[in-house]
Amino acid sequence: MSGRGLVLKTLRDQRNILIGMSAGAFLITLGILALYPQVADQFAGIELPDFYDIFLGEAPIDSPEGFLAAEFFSWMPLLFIALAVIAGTAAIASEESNGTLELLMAEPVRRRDLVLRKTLALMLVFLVISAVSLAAMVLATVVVRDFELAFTRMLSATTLMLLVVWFFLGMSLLASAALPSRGSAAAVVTALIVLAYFVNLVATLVQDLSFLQNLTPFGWADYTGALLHSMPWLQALVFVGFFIVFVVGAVVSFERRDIGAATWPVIRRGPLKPSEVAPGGEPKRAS
Amino acid sequence: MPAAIHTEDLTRDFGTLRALDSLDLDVGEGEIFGFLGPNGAGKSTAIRLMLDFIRPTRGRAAIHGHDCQAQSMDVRRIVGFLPGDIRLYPALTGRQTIDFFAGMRGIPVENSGALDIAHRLELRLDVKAGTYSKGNRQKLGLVLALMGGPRVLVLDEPSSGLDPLNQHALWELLRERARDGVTVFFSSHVMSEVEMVCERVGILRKGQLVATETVSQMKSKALRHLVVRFDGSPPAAEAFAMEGVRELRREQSIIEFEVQGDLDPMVKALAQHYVVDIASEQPTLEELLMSFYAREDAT
Repeated sequence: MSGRGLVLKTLRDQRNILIGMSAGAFLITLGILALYPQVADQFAGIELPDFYDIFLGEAPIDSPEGFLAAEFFSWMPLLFIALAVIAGTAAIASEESNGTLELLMAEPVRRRDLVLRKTLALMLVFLVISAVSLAAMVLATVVVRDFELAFTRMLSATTLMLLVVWFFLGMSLLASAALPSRGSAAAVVTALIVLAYFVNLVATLVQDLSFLQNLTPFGWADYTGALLHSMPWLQALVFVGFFIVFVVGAVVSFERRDIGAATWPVIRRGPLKPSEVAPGGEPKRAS
Repeated sequence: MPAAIHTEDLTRDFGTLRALDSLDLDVGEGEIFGFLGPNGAGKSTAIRLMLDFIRPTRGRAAIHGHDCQAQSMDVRRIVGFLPGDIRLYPALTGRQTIDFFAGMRGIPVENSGALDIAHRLELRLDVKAGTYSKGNRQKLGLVLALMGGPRVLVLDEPSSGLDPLNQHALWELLRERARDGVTVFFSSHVMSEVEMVCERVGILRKGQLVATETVSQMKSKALRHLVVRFDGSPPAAEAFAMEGVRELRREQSIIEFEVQGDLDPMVKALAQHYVVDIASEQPTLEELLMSFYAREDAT
């Protein structure tokens, strides 16, 4: 079977996200960084209260590292994560909800290959968007006054961001492969993201609970550290490890479960509810 | 005839509900087999088990010797499938859809026969599938199922949404394929279609196969009505006291009979008398099916 066809088809399905976000990320990144000279001038010599360290990290905001961490890495990854959830949950569950999955699975394609090829295509989408963001940062070092930052530092932070996005992409793919509808997959993943974000926020604000940061992916994603020092390899490996676990989980769940049946096979194995059964005894199709 | 499709004890439960119950079935190579039953009888469940969309609770299915679960890739390489309610990628044109699925099978579109089938079904391929009517979606689904020369066709309600002309084109396509040795297995609840193309039918009722016979066998076993007009008073009832014959109405010189099974003894009995006219009503497959269901309900 032609795996390239499925990868290209998935890329084609994601072309709006790919083109829109690449263009948007490039312009927004460059636009934000263009403001750096004014911000640096405004904050030069100003000693901010310690409280601001919670939000700005160890890098001062009038430094290129601090500015990039505060104005780009504080929120842009969240946007990419949201897109990863949209694309990831659509990968399998949306095909199923739309009724095209049976047509696809009637072809000589292994379930495992279907998940892996869709995963590869979506990884490429976010790799391109991240690369475009990095390109805008590199351009900024050339055209924006005083914005001087080593390429390797920007590469480290952007790579970390990409790994975070892939982490949530993997989680979304797992939910998409294991759950019967896109809605249920998106609901589960979104709830986990909100919970993780909230826990990280509380851990950041409350000193006694700071250990909780180690339990959330948002806590592991130390962009400021990557910009100031080097690639945090341990965190990077953790993200890669979880991503692999999620994708393997997605493959296993999808291999084991029924296609086109509105059941939650991973979570519940008991009898169907009457509302899940069509006349005659067959389960209703996922919707 | 070697079995192209073989199932034994094929059973699938959904929770406490048994959607398919111990299906034992053999469909020969080059045979057109109709799988009949009302909605929810288990037809789609059987088809989805064959294509490994769902797994059996017990039993097995095999197509050309390949186990449908353990060797599902081998099965899907030789099977063309049309789902019951076909959905397509709305952003792709008909041609792009064909290109995509031909690519999945690793066959060049030009050699797949897809364009010829589309032409015979009068399907335009240059418009997006999202704008297709139900009938055109069905036609494109048939093109996808038939292209590339699969050895087995599994079609769920194939004529659904097609106009009569295209139905005939479809039936002709299926007969051609069967002549070339392709096995056609299709589910339907349209009896006229089954009568037109099938050699053999299986009737499914509440997940159970209640009959598997040729269409002519089924018809020969069916109840038929005979209205016989005699010259003068009709003979006494004892003259027709035989198995499978029941007198329904007696009126002046006319007797109306209900005959089940072989008609020959009845004809011979009638030949002993002067018969002016005989009207025989051949049951349609629809009536036949209803009689099967009625019998099942009675037991």
